[in-house]
Amino acid sequence: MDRGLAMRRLWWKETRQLVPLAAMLVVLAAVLHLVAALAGDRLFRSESSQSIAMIAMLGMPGLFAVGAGTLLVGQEWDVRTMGWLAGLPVTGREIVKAKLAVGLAGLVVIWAVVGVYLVGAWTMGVVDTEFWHDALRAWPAHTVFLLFAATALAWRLKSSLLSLLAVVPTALLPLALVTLAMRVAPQARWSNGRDTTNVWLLAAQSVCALAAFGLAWRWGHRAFLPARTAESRQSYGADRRPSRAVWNAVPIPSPYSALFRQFAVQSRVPLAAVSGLFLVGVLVDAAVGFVGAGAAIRMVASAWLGVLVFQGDTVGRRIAFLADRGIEPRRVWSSRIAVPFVILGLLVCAALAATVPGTSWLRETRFASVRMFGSLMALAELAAFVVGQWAGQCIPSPVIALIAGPILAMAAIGFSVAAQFSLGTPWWLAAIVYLAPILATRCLTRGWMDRRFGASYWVQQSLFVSVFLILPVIPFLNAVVREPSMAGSIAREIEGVVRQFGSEAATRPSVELVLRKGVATEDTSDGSATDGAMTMNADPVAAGVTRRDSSADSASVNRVHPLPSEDPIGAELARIAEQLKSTTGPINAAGYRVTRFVWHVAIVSRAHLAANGGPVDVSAASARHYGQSIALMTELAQRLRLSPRLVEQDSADLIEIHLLFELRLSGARERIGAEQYASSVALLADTASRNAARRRAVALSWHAFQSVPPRANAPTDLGGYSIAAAPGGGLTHGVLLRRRAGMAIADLWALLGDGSESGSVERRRRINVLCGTYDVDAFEPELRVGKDAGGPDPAVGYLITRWEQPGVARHWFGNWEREAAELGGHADSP
Amino acid sequence: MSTESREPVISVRQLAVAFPACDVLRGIDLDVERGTVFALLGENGAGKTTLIRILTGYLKPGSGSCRVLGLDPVRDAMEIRRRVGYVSDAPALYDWMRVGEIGWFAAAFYAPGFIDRYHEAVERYEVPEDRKIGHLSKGQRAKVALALALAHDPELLILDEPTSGLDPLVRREFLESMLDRVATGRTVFLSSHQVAEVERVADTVAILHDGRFRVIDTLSRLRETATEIVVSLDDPLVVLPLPGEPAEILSDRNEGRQRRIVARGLVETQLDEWRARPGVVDIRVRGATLEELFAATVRGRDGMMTGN
Repeated sequence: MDRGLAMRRLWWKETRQLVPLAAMLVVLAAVLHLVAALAGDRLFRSESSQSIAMIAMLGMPGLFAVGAGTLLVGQEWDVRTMGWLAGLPVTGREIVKAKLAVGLAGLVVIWAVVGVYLVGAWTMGVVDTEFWHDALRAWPAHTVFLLFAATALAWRLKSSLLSLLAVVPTALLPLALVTLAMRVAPQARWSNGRDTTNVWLLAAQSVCALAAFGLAWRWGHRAFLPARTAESRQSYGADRRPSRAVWNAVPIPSPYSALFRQFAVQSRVPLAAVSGLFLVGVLVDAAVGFVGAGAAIRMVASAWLGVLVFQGDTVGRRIAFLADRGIEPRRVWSSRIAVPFVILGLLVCAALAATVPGTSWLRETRFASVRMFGSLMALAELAAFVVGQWAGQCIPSPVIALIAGPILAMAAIGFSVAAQFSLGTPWWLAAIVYLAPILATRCLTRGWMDRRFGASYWVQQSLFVSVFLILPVIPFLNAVVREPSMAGSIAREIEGVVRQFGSEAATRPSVELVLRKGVATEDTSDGSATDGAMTMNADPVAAGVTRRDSSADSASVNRVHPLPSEDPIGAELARIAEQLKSTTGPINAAGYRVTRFVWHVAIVSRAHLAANGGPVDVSAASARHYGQSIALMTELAQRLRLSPRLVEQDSADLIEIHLLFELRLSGARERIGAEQYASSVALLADTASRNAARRRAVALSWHAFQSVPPRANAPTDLGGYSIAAAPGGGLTHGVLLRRRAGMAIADLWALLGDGSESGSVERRRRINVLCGTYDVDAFEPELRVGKDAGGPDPAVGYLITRWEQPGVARHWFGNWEREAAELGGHADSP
Repeated sequence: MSTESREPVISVRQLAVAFPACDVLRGIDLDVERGTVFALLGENGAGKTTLIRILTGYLKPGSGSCRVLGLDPVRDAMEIRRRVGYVSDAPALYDWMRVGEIGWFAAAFYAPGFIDRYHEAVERYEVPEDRKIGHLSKGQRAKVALALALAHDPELLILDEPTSGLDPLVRREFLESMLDRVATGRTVFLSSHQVAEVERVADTVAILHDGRFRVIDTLSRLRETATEIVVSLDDPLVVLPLPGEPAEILSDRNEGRQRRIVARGLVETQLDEWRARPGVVDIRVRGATLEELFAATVRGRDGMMTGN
């Protein structure tokens, strides 16, 4: 015999046995990434939290370690090929060595793949290096321990199912040792001021791995030695269950009773083990003092209870006994599912009962959160059971089913949660789809019993999977399909305008003008004026003034201080002018206090000038202020027009309306000065420039909106206006927001195209409903002199004005534009 | 005799099954009469188990039809399995149950009387009832499987290699019990390699080879018509043309100066023609055994295993 060839073939056989496990891990990784992507940025990108998908990838080596040890040894016992293997002309030692070596080599390969994945993620900048540094320090050693432990347990227990169940509590051994050591000798934790827990953990893992390796070697070697006679005798006579005479006396059970008993007795050990695992999860909650710490353990146990529904009979093809005798599939199905389901129910009730407040170990948790979270956990455990029983019927191998079951269960629950939050799926629909796995196993029990896993079987399974996945998506699809979107032709026209100005114009920084503190005080609802230098604000969201900005609405009371001899109003007006001179770019509507101040100064100074008599210096100052304010209003309007945002265009409309009011008053030219008057009139009469600015703002606002990825539950800015929240979850919200914003932009574009009042009322209403500005009244400037108006200085008093954002395009193509154009025409005439 | 009792228990028409790269059954026809022992012979891979799995509803045929007890195995598989006693070639039993316990468990699904018949069979086969199934030998497991199949007194027994692993005494006893069953109007459909045993109990024999029935006839007629002819020649190069109809040549082997031919339906005149040919020294004719017939059917004319 060529020994080298024999060993190579042996190693090849061991490696080949791991292929289904590796394939399953690839599928699971893909499924988890899909769910994470569907869940949106919160889970898939590590901006502020760890990525679930990346954590799942890091878990793959652990799953492989557990599965490899169980598959390579346990499954050989299950299908009885270990005996055949022992009959080959190779020593038991060589077989054990081959299995250990192949398992370890496979683990290294899996780690290499995960390493490549993590490096890729790190270069993309989605890795929190501190977190991963800690995780990667301890986890690789732990996976080696898991591999050896699973192998040792499989040699000892001679069953893949039992060894897989036993490896779960064993996996906690290093952590338990370290915890115990820290309690016994807490001073050992700190060394030179540093926490050495990780070092202790690494040491514990290494020691446990060595011990597990030793046991795997020993028990594996022993498995190929002849069994002792005493053991054989013991196995024949030790069972104390009833003999024939007793069976004769026991009444023949009903079919269901017989099936229930058969399943319960047959699966009593794994059912008991999994139930114990569930209770361990409850105890972990108790030890930590927080409901949910043992959640992962309970979820795994719930999924495994589901897997055992059908896997108990899949092992060794036991189900053929019932299939050969034509036992009805419905009886088989209900008897398989009833026992684990009842067990799960009892365990869940026990867990819920344990969360009753007043127990000592839960004294620090609040009643409401305990109850709610406990109820949610119960639902999740039920869902895990349902998915687990589905996996248990579909997957022939018990090892693969036990590994895949919990992962698929968590993926399914993750999908349901993501569907509710991202797609707006109602909770009852997300719950109903869990009937699909139940129906699937019920309908396909016959195929499972007969092992008819042909095309028909898998097509039917696929249909049920499709129902499970597609049904929750229907509300989202319905909402999206019914929501109209911008026509392609309009989109192309807008894109053309964006290209003309350059996409960077959409995010061109704008200036927020500020007032010196104390120049104009306002009531508390309006906030306080800022102090200090002007601000440069490139973030449209932060700088935008929204309809919902309470500081911009309702009545505001301005107290204009009496004029001191130093002329602070003039100084402030000059300061505003300086801010404008310091930049040539646009200003943003966040500086509305400045524009309002300037307008108020114009009103008051005109009132001063209109009053007959008064101190000469006051009149001169008022005239100066009036001229300055008109000039500033003109400049402000021009600078607002430069903004790429809609809100500034509407703010510019307001200023121009005020300006028009001033310019149309009799004696305006004399008060303002001929040059400034002509300049202001020219601005107002320039309809073409006004509309061009509006077109640019519409196009660039849309471009900026599209450039910002929609964030769930975050306000979305469209040209400075917040789009009203759309119903549904994150993804639905995002999609509907985009479509509604697109329709608003399309309406504005059409409005600009029409350029007239006709047909525009409905369009404006629609625009403002979409932007949530519909219920705002159209701006009506109101000036009333307050109670102190009868005093010696009419400038001292209370001005009551209303300054509200009137809504999107509310003043476009209004009568004022016609009046402004007429004014321009009259101004030209001598 | 009622209409039901005249209908074949099993009826197969143009049944065909194909697996990837392999046609297992190629349009076979079959009728199993009530109250008979029908033996299905064939080499490994001939399609015997496939045919049985179709009859019991585990497999769907690619084409053709079949009926078992008047029922369609595709639609009524569960009903068929309840009414027949089926023992597969590797019967599934619960290793953790005891012999008595598994009978008690199975009795829940059948009419009263099952448990008594089961105990009776187990006692007859001398299997200890308090022993765990997992601790039984292969033959003992086979006995338990048989006992379970017989206990509900089915009108049709479908047995796939039923005596495999049984000791000779039990095998004899089992075969005799088959005859007893048939005498009471029950039907037995068995697939076996044990040609000698089949010869003892079968009423009808079918030899399945390469997906087709090469021989399907009553055992008595086979005995009458199957002959082995040894033709002695004075020269190995003497050409001996094979006779045509009504004879069916099943195998033809050259053994130097002798030609050994197994044929069915060979008439005396055809033998006379051979005797008259130059070079033929002697012709000896005797009835072929079933085993020889089986071997001849499988090996074919050139003495090789015939295939596709």
